Amino acid sequence: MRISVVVIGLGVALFAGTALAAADLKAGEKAATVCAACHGIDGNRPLDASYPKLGGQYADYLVKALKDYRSGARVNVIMNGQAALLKDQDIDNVAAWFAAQNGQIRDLRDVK
Amino acid sequence: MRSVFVPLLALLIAVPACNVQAAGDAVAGEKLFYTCTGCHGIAGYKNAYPNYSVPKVGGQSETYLINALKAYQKGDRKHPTMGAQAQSMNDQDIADIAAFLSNVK
Repeated sequence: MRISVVVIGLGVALFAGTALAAADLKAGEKAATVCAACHGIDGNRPLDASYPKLGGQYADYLVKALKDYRSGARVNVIMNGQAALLKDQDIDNVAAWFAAQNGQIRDLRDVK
Repeated sequence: MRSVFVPLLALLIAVPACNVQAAGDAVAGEKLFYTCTGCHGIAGYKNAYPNYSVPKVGGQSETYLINALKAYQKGDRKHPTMGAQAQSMNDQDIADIAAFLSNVK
């Protein structure tokens, strides 16, 4: 019985070890000022319809997008350049900040 | 001066116009978007692999959506499901879906 508790404890600890470092919203907000030049304030007012709205988007999707831009798996001249400047923690921070903003985008639940 | 300038101006207007997409029909797009709801219609739904949330696309920028679907179609942007979906669409379908989705409130 005691062993199983230890095993569960170990399992929880290992899982926590692979989780993302906690995002720093303040740092994310600071980093996001650069993004506003194209995506608009709060990521909700893109300057051109070819730029996506980011406010309220899922954080883990934004992390995936930024890492793909950084690695070159996803190609966009502007975003490849921007993402190249970001460390993992910067990406987590900025993604968490955009996800926390009120957005104009939504999932398609209840859309008729 | 004027005789050169006017045609030149017309050319400047005409050249970008050639790149304009087929106009999207939101009503036609509404008939096509149902398939999208299988993944994009469930709050917080995640891809099995890689494991991340399927993005919110309702209300997203129209040209961005068109570019995304075309990139999936060509394979420039890689995702098995989205690649397969986009390959089943023609340019008009893509324009229609983007017109509908960008107007979702």
